[in-house]
Amino acid sequence: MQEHSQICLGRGAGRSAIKATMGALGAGVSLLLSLSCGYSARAANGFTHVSVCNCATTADFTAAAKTISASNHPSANFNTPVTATYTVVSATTTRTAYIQVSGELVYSLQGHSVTWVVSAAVPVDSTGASIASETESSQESFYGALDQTLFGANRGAPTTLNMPDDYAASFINSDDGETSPGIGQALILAGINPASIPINTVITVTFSDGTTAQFVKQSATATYQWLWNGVAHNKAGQRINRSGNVISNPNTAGVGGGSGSAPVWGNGSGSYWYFGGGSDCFFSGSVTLPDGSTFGSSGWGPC
Amino acid sequence: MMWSIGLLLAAASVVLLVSRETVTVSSEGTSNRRAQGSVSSPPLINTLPRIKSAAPSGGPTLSDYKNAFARSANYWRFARDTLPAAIAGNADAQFYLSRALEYCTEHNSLYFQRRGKPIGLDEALQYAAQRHLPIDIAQDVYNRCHEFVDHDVSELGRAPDWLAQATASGQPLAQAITATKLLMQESQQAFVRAGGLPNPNNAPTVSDGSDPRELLRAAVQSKEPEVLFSIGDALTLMAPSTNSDNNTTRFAWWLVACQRGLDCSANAEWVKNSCANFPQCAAADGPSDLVQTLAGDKWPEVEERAQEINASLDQGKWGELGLGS
Repeated sequence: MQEHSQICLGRGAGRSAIKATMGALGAGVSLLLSLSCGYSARAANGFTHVSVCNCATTADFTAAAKTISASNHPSANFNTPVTATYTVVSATTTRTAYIQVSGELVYSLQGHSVTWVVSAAVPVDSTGASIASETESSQESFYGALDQTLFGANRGAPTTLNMPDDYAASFINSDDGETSPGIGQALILAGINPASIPINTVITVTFSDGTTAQFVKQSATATYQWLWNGVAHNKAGQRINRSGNVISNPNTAGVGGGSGSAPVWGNGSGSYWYFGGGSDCFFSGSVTLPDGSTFGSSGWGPC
Repeated sequence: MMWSIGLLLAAASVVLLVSRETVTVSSEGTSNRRAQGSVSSPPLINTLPRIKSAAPSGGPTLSDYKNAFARSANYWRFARDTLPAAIAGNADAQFYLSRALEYCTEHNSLYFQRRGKPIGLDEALQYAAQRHLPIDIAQDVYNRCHEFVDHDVSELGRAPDWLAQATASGQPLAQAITATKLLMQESQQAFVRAGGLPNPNNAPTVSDGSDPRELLRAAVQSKEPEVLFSIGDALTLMAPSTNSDNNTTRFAWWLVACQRGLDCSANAEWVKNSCANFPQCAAADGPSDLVQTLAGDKWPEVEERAQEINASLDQGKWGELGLGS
């Protein structure tokens, strides 16, 4: 049986956060039935915290972030506004949101008490830009995409594949005319009907040279059934573009972190994720198979 | 005056394009397409009268264009024949012209290019076989689309522009396609923002400023099978979530579409394209076979939901279809 390794790294080459080995099935396909997932990240705006909520909408996520911020916020002088970004992972949908919360500690002379007062809670994207002015539908679309991008899978039905060599041996310089049929064939060899996979589902594909990439399912009537979503890593776990060039982490500041766990659905049980702290704005996430092997993703959060 | 000229042009173009195809009608009443090529042609049966009877007002109808497109073995010719009606403002002509242009652009890319470089028919057939793509589709694509490679296609306009015009005119299939494209585009943009990097697959394919939900609510009233099928995917995009309810709803809409005339057999091109090599897809025959296979143990729920959808469609209860209000 062929073995493939996937490594989720911290910022820069060689900082391995998670290393996992996946056994290949048939033409190199692993279907996750029961699984767990892990997620680590580093800071945003000087502080970050992660949590799990039963969230689906922007109102749910912002309410959860406000609640979290009451007990987990940056240290600050009284009456001095501070901002923190909270990564909130839903436990009931495959959605994750970045919520930027601004607030301050207000000291009451009369009551000799200190209160955390939130002035704003705003959803942001991975660059830290506000998405508050967008429609609810657009925001929820982003939460779904963020969740799948972070975990490298749809937590509702995680699937990972190994690309057959006769389609593409590397993600680098591959094209959709190779990868899209290759994914379809790999699914069929694994006994999965490609047409059964819902539109917009992300799967992580591992190539024989160790590169990995995420692909998104298109409509059943589309010519190309699978398209790259922009996330790929080289064998060392560094983000790359389709030419194989390493993309540097644009976020170089930030402290704090957090950890937590969230469910992964499917036919199995037991799942978790965690969110680690550090000095830059980096995350790595993974999904664990029942046999203990994992796959996942890594990237940068908002700073 | 211009409108009358447009209608005349449209009618003439459909007669022209249909007359270049041959249709035979079996004893069961089903029709079979056969391309008219350099070989001797089978007898022309029942084509022109059917077109005329389907267009009591004298102009071609949606079903005329749908049938002509489905029968066409040469999309270059179809596009050229349809162009005058599209220019004259016939929304159905605009939609099917956009379909022909988009089909050939994408399928020529998939079957007749290798890493961006054009390849000939022999190499393309070998390359398709190597990738386990349906050889018959590769051959069909060559027949339908190779003239797009040999000619200057600029005179035909751009697929997105024709689609936008058809959508603006309220053409239901165009509305459904545009809505799905808008939702998919929104989703792809979300992935770019989630990943934090540009992605060449994120190039907009449609620039319509419409609300996709409104487009779907309008389109569904046509009850066109293709529209109903699109709604299955669109609803998944409109409510990205995790649970299997998404699949139940999607397959229910697919089942309704299949029951109402969409070809969901193993011979349908979309079935070949999405799962031709999966044994159960290759065995699909009746309208419900494929969906039943896909639904697995969710089949009873899918059937029940499909019955609800069918009832709402039949009774015109558009607000009960999950498309908002």
